[in-house]
Order: sequence, then structure tokens, then C-alpha cells
Amino acid sequence: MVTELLSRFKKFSVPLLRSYSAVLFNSNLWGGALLLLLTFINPNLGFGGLVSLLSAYIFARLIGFKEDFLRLDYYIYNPLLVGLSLGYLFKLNLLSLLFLATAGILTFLLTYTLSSIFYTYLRLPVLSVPFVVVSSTFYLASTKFSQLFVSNLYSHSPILISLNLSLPVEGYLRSLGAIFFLPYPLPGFIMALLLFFVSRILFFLSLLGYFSGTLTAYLFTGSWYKVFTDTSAFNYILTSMAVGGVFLIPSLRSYKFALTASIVSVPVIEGAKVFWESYGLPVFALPFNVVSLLFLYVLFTIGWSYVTKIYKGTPERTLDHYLTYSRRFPFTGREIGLPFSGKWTVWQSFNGEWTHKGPWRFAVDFVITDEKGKTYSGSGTQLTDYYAFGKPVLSPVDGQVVSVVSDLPDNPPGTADRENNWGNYVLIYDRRGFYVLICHFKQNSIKIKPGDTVVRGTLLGLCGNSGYSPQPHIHVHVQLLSYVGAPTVPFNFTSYISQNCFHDVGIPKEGEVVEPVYQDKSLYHRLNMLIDQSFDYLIAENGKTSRFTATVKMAPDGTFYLTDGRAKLYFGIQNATFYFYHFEGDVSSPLKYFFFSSPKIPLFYSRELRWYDYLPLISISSKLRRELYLFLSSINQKLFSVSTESSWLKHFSLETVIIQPGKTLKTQVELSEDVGFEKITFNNVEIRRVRDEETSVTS
Amino acid sequence: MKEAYEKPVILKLKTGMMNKFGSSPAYIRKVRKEIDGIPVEKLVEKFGSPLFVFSEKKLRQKFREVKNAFTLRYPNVEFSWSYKTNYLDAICAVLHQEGETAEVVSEFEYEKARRLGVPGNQIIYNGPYKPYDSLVTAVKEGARINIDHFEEIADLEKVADELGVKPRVGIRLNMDTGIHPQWSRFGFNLESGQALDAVKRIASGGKLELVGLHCHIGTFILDPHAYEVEVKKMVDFAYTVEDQFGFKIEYLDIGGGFPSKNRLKGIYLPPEVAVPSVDEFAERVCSALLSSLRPGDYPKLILESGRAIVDEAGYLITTVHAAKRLPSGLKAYVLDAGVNILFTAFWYKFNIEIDREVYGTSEPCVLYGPLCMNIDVVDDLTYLPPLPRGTRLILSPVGAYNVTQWMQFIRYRPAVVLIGENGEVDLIREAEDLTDIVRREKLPERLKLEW
Repeated sequence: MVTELLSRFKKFSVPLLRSYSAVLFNSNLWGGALLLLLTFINPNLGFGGLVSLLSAYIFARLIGFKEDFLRLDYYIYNPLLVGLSLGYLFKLNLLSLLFLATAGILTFLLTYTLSSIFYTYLRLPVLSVPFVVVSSTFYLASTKFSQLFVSNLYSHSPILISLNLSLPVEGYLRSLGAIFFLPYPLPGFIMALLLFFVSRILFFLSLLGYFSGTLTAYLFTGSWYKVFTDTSAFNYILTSMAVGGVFLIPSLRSYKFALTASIVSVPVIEGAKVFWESYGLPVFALPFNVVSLLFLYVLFTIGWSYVTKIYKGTPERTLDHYLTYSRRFPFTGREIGLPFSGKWTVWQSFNGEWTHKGPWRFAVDFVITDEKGKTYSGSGTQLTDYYAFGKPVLSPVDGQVVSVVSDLPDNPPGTADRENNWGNYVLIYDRRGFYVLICHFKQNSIKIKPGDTVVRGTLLGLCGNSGYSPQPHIHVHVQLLSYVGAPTVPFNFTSYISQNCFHDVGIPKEGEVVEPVYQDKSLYHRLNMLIDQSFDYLIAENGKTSRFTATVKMAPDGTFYLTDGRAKLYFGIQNATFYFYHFEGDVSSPLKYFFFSSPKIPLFYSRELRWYDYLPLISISSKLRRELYLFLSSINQKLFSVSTESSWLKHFSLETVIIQPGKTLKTQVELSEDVGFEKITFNNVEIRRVRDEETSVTS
Repeated sequence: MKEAYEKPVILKLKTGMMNKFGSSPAYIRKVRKEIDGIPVEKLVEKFGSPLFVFSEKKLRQKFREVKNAFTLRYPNVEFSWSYKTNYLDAICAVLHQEGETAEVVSEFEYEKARRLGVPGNQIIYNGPYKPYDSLVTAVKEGARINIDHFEEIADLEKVADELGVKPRVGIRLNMDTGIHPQWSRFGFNLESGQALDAVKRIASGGKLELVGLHCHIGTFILDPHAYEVEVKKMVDFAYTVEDQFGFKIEYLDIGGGFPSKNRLKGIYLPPEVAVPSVDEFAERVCSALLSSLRPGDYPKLILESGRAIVDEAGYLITTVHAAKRLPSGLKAYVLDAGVNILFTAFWYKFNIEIDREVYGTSEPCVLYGPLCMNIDVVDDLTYLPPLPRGTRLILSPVGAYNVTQWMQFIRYRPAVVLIGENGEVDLIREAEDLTDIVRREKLPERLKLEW
């Protein structure tokens, strides 16, 4: 009963607290609680924010919004800000309560509308535009509401303790406080501490933004006093944080943008002030919204590559995720299989020295070689001397055959057909939006015709020596247009073995011997965890034993994750590889051990197989080091990485060595007989699956 | 050079046997002074005669040839080393190094593979007689078991209950592939519906998970087409099983039976002509697979090829102990190796090479082994020049079955050596002596002799 109440309270309070922390671009619950408490330094403010927030929240629930949806924080931080702004102006009583509730609901409606317009037409976040619009409207409206005006307006006694700070520091703290309508040094100081605790990058950006903005303002105005007492300077802070750390991946470049953006905000603030103040209004966060949105719109539209795709709660987490993701998944969207079976040797790769040049530089040629590196036995004067000649060529993709030429003769070794460069070929359209050309087939060996549907591995024909081909080989490339010989584009081969090393994606180099891997059915069945399957585990950590259950769930975007209630571990199978994509949520969740000990598992067993991967820096157990590395990584992305090297121990168990900066860890994973993970050993942590029978015995 | 003296003999004049290949046995002789660069004489000096010699180079090369033939044509192939053809540790180790798993047909072979370090789940356990205890061990260790009969299904279900697990098993099929004799004594017959009954039985028991099909159509099959039929029938059956019973067939084990370049008795053509290349077999098997499998489905193809890989890597050095003239006028030689260690002599005509140049015309002769039994004939008719006592004959291919089927009858079994890729010569099985044979014997106290 109590636990049920508690969990309901938790469900209810989490989005509320999140909306407080979201104002400072993070999702720390304790931070949110602290900010909530801070607003009660001025009870009118505190209640004002909370009432407006609650009314919006309840309204949203009434019209059927789900909790998950409300976790998108901008739906509720805008009502919060509006509530704060009104609470700053009006005392709390029944009348102002009504006023606040109205404001909350209006803000929610406006946020919903604006965010869908912004997203659809501009691909932009709504930021706090609704707050600026609603607050300005209500401030203007309140001048007409004399009843409200007379009874509820109150004067502000500058708060309490004087900290005796130097002007710039006090200015910074006041500005920080002003974000929550608490333009006093003490709350500002607490918020600065909070910011530092939550994210060093945000803290750094707040300083960078504030001081670059104020310095610029000083250059124009010439008065230090004026710039450091101007509370609307909080716009510099927000702009700098949004541009430098939230919407762009934190890096030296994003910091430069943050700097520029804060400087650009200076005239925007002053200009807006003139206009807004003529109606007796503060400018609120208008300059922040204008400048940030302008920067983001331009950067997004020109296809700036370092844009945040998934914000993971803080810039540090986001950066970590971005760096790991770009190292782990260098996908081009054009991943194709190798067009053959068995071991073939790369004769020419991308930018090859003979023919893979200019528009045709993204192509790969394969031949078969023996132990001495020769491509033929005997004298090599007959086509049949060549190992590759007559070997099956298999479809590298699922798709539809667009065109086929099959009747050109095979050239004798050493000669080439200059008229018909591509020789006998098959052009296949892959529904992912590209064409694959495979050529130099043996005369009349092609077994498919235009219009046929093929899947990866379908027998297309036999390797031959037609076209511009001095010796039998397979040429493969990817192009975006449907005619033969169109310019080539970069692509990747998936799931192959080269020198006992498994590559989930990659382009082999010249001379590399590669062998494609087709997923092993029994490994596939063991790792194909299905929705709602749940697995009970016992975890022994530092001598303590506890239980947890991991359940498979589906995210709205169709990806699957394992969850124990505290964190989500996304996984999937592609390229004949099982991946743990990324980890989300509470780092204390034992699911992280699953991730760290097997970031990827090839669905293929061979005794000496090795494979490599990267892990996010959150896998470093020392919090201090981890955070330091993350902050430094924002300046130079190549500084730190955590890599892994894995190999099979037995058919269904594997070992992973995690190489952290200055430290190496060994972990072991055992797969279950049926499906899922049986046992994980990570340092002194052991996770073991328990079955239903055992459960009943132990309980 | 002075010609060696040979007692005069009257030979029927022959202009060579009538054959269209123009070979004249009277003057043809094959001389082999070394094996992989190691002089024959040196080997015998060190290890005695007779001596089995294996070439690691040839073994690996042959395996790679067979492997390439299949892997270049089908993307998911596993080779499982047929222990019965040669289970010497060193030979198995070479092939396991090359990536083969182990195919065993008895608890003895199972234990031997485990002792060599092969993990249970890398073993395929076949055979018509699998003792209950060995099934328990095999299930525990995750071996892949191919069931031979209904009793074995019952046995395995009992094992499943005992261990509280659901073993993943295969069933062995037999079928008509146009090959005679049809091996119908192993597994469940496909055409009669027995195989489907077995699947029903497994499904209704609910204690076993059927994940594979196994079939072995025969041995020394010279017709690649038979494999094509086998594969097609297996794929059809696999889909019937998948569709009707919901099992997922993860592997198709098509057994072995591929021939080596040995000459079967009664076959007129030389093996180079009569025996199809491994590429022809691979071509039939793989194109049958690719054309009958459903799109995107690539179950594991398992091959249990033994003979085709190891036979040609093995040689036997034997020494001429005596020569005699039979009453029929036929020349005969007594060798120090006979059918006791050359079991395959019953069906092969070996390639016979001499370790030195010997002058004189070849004449028809018969090669006898050292046994005091009439059946001990290594070759009943071959053409050899007059061989002085002490001449070494090098018989090949003898790599398959001999060192597993050899018998200890009145003689000790000889040493086996392996010539490494860099010319190292390793003794991989010592020659036997009395202790090997009497170790297990017990003489009751009352029978002790006091001479």
C-alpha cells in the first residue's frame, strides 16, 4: 500500500522535478528538487511556479497525455517559467491562483502548438518562446485587471544576506539567479554550485557566456556598473549553454559558437529592451530565444555535422554518447554484404591504383589467391587456371534486379575489353535508396533477370573475365543513379572476417583476405530477445547479493531495450551482429555490466575470432576521473577512449578485455541455453540468471 | 653401371596390356626416394619398417582444397573431422587447428576427442550404438547428437529428465539417392515416412529440441549427383519439419563419403579419371542448396569428410623381405606389412613406389604380407621389376582407416611419424612392444608357470 502510494507519488513528481532542472538543460532529479526549494525563498514565487506547472500538468493528463510524453520537458518548463514570472509580480491568493492556473493552461496549449509548428516547418526546438509570449501577454493583461493589480502586487525587499562580493562575481550570480526570478547572489551562488555539480561543461559555458556578453556590453556602453547590474544578462548564460553544450555537440567549435552567440545577444538584448520596456515589460528570455534559434536554424539547415541528435541529460553524457556512437557505428546507410562465399582477396579497394579513380573511386575488386598470393594455378594462361573463374557470385543486398548484361565473351587472361568496360553485370536496386553494381560475370552464367527480387546470398551468376578485366575478378560498387557507370558513393561491407578479426562494418584494404559471415541460427535464436521476455538475475556485488529483473520493452521508435526500471539498455541485431546500442538512465543499474562486457557479439562462432569495439566513458568507475576526461574530451575529442577486445571462450561464452585510460579490465559473459544472458562476471561483480524453479525454492 | 644378376626366366611376350592410354607396365616404374624431402631410408633407419608416414603439408593442403571448394560456394559451412578415419591425436590436432570440429561415432571416440581438448559443444555424436552413460555426458557437455533410432529418442528423453535440460538434437535420415547399396540401416527412412514419425515422436515428447538433420548416403561415392539428390531431399524435409512442427533446423549434416584418389579394385580407369574432383561434389551440393533453400535462409552445412582429406596424406613404407617364384610362374614378394596394418588393402589397389632405381623388366607379381594366413595379400597383381631383398616399397594413399582399423594379430603395430611443414619429423605413435599387449592380461595365480 505504502509502496504503491510512493510509486504513484514518484510517477507524479518525476516530471515536475524534471521541469525545474530542464530550465538549466539537465535532467537531474535532486537538482530539480533543490531548485524547487530555492524558489520558495520567495513563497509567492515558489507557489506561483508550482501552481502554474501543476495546472498545465493536470490539464495535459486530462486530455490524455501519457507520462512518457510529458517527460519531454519543454511541455512543462514553459508553464513553470510563466508561473514564476507571475509569482514574481503578484502575491498569492485565490484571485492570483486563478490567474496562474489560466496562465499554466494557456502556456501548455501554446507550447504544444508552437512546438509542432517549429518542429514541422523549421526542425527547431521551441525553447522558451511560449514562456516569453505568455508572460508578456499576461503582464500586459494584468495592467487592465485592476482588481488583481491593486490587491496582489507586492514590493520586493532585496533579499537577506549581503555577501560582499566583487561586482563581476555578484553580477554573474545575480544573473544566474534571475533565470528563476531570484536575482540575488545567494540563490545564484547555490545555482552555480548546482550547475557545477551537474555539468562542468554547462558551468563553464555559463561563465563564458556571461563574461563575453558583459565585456562586449561594456565596450559599447563604457560602464562596468551598468553591465554587471543588468539582470537580463542571464540571456548570455542561457544562449551560451544552449548553443555551446546542448544543441551542438560540446567541442572547441561549439564553444566558439557559444562565444559568438553571446556577443551577438548584446545588441539584441538592448534593442529588445527599448521596445519591451516602453510597454513596461521585462524582456524575459526573448534575446536568448531569438539568438539561439537563429544560430540553430542556420547550423541545422546547412547540415552542420556536430548537431546533437539525442540529448542524454547533460552535455557530458551527450558528448560521451556521440563520441562512442561515431566510433562504434561508422555507418554510411549503405551497408552491403560481400558478394561471394568463402575467402577472397581484395585486389583493388577504394581509390585503387589502377582503375578505381575519379567518380569510380568507391569500388572494390576481389580475386581468389593461394598461399603464395597467386591468383591461378598452373601457367595462368587459361581462364580455368584462375581460382576465381566460375566461382559463384552472390547478391550482396536484398533488392530488385534493374538490369543485366550476360552475353559478352570472357577475355583470355591478360587482355581486356575496352568497349564494354563493365562486361557482364547485374545492377540491383536496394530499397534503402541506392544501386549496387556487380560485374565481370562469366558469359551466359547470370541466373537472374531484370525485375527479379533477390535477397542477400541469392546466386546471381559465376565470376568471369568479361569487360575491362585482365583476370577473373568480381567488381562491386554502390551508386545512386540507375544507369551503369554512374558515379560511385562510399559504402561499407557488413559482417566479415579478416585475419581472424570480425568486422561488423568496414572496407577492407588492398591485399586483405576477407570471408563473409552469415549469422549462425543457433546464436541468433539465443540473442533474439523478444518483447516482454523477462529474465531474473542474482547479482553479487562487494559481498552483497540482490535480485533484479530485466524485461524487454519497445521504445516508441521501434527499437528494443532491456530495462530493470532504473535504466534502459537498447539492443538490436543487424549485420549478423548483436549490439547493445546505448545505455540510458541511472548509472547504478546493473544493466550497465551487460553493456560493458558485451557491447557487440558476432552471431558467428569461430575459435580464434576476435572483435573490437568502444565503450562510453561512463564505463570508467571513478566518477572524478570520468568527469574530468569528459570535460577534456570536449576540447579534444581524441584524448580519451575506452576500447574493448572480445573473443569467444567457448561456443556460447565470451571474454571481453576493457581497455580504459591507464587500466585494463577482464569480463566474461555466458549466454543462456535458451535465450538471453546466463552469467556475467565483471571484476568483483557476478550476475547470474535464476530460473523460476529456483525462485520458489529460495522464497 | 653393372647390372644386378637376375635368375633367367621365360616371360610370355606381351606388347603391353591393351589399353588406350599407352602405358606399358613392362617399363613403367615409380621411384620415390623421399617423402616431403625426407629420405625414405633415413626414416626407416630411425623408426624401423614398416612405417606409416603422414605429411602435414599434404594434409593441410588437402583440407584447404576441400574447404575452399565448399566455402567458396556456400556461405555457412562447418567441417567436422571424421574420427573413425584417423583418430591419431596429431592428425586430429592438425585438422582442429584448421578449424574442424569433431565427428565421433562411439563413446571411445568421444572420450578421445575430449581428451585432446575438444569442447563438448564442438563434437558431433553419431552412430547406431550410443551407450546411455555416454549420452548423459554428451548432453551435459552440449555435444550435437544425431539420433539413430526410436530407442535413442527414449534414451535422450530420459537424459533430459535426469538433467533437467532440453537437449538440442538432430536425427539421422536414410534415403534413396540412386546409390547402391542404399545405406538403410542407419537412421530413419525418409521415403517410408519413418523420419516424419520420428519428428512427431520428438515433438509429442516435448523434451527434445530438434535442430538438425543428418544423413550419410554411403562411402567412396563416385557420383556427385547422389549428393544433389540427398541435399534436395534434406532441405525439403527440413522445411516440412519447420512448417509442421515449429522446430528450427539450424544445420544440415550431409555426412561424408567423398572419395580419395585411391583406386578401387574392379575399377578399370585410373582414379584421376574415375574419381570426380571435389569441386564437382561441392558444385552439386552447393547449387542444390542455393536453389532449394528459401530466400535468406542459410542453415549450416556440415561435412564429415574424412577419407577425402586424410587418405592421400598417408604413406606406408614397407620392406621386401623375400622373393619367391610361385608354381604358376608368378613372382611373389613377402613384405613386412600386410593386411594386419593395411585394412584398406581389401578394397584398394595402392599406388606402389620403389625407393631406388631398379633395373630389369617389370613382370607381374603378387605382394604378400607377413601373416601366416592366405588372405594376407597386399596386391594380387602388379608389375614390378626384380626387387632385391631390402627394397622399400612406398604404398599410398593409406591415410584413412588403416591406423584405426589395423589389428594386432601376431605382430606389433608399427610406428607412425608426421613430417611437419618445415621438414620436422615427429613420432606421433610409437611402435608397439610386448608391454602394450600384455598390459591388460591377468594370469591367475594357479596357472603361473615355473619353468
